[in-house]
Amino acid sequence: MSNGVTYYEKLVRRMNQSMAKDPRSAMVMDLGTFQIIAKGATLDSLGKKMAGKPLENTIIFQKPNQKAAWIL
Amino acid sequence: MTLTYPGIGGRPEIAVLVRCMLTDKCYGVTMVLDTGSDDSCFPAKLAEKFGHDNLHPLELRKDAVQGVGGMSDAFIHSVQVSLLDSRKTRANKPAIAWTSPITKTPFVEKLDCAHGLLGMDIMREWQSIVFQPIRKGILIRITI
Repeated sequence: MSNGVTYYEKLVRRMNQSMAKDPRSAMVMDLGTFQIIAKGATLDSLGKKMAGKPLENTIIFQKPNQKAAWIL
Repeated sequence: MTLTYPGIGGRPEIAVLVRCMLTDKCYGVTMVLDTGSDDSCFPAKLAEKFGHDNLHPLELRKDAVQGVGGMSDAFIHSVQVSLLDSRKTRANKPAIAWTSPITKTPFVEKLDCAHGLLGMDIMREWQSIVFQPIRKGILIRITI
């Protein structure tokens, strides 16, 4: 990857950009092209949109609900 | 070996590879590094993504887990979590740096999010984990 930026760093940057652009959606991103293949308001609606589509080489993610508290 | 990851969304969340032990297929998913969780887990709704059926009578073992939200049913599926090598991974060519020995993972019904929780069952296999706050979020360093 050019400029010393690794593929992983670029992936995280693209995921962060997608979450900032569409903070309420769960998304499936192609790991090769960084394209958002599908998005849905919930995992259920996302699952329906992805039904029958191959899911290898994809990653699913969602910006956390700001109302939810995570205890770490 | 120390692996360094920028946290996704500025949180202690990393992209991992999950292998379905039934189909041998691998999927990308994000997991929050949750030191407060005894066991790693995923939302039940993600099981389908890994090619599993929460209603399958033969491949399924049902269990109960307890968390902040109280008790919940969980479906135990055979999946294995692997850490990506953040320096060597390329597009369409994931480089696996480490694979968890744990092959049974609960998929929790009440877990309502799109990421898994990477708990102490996996973390205790590592030598160390460091969370380093940076200007734009957090850097995670895992020594395996």
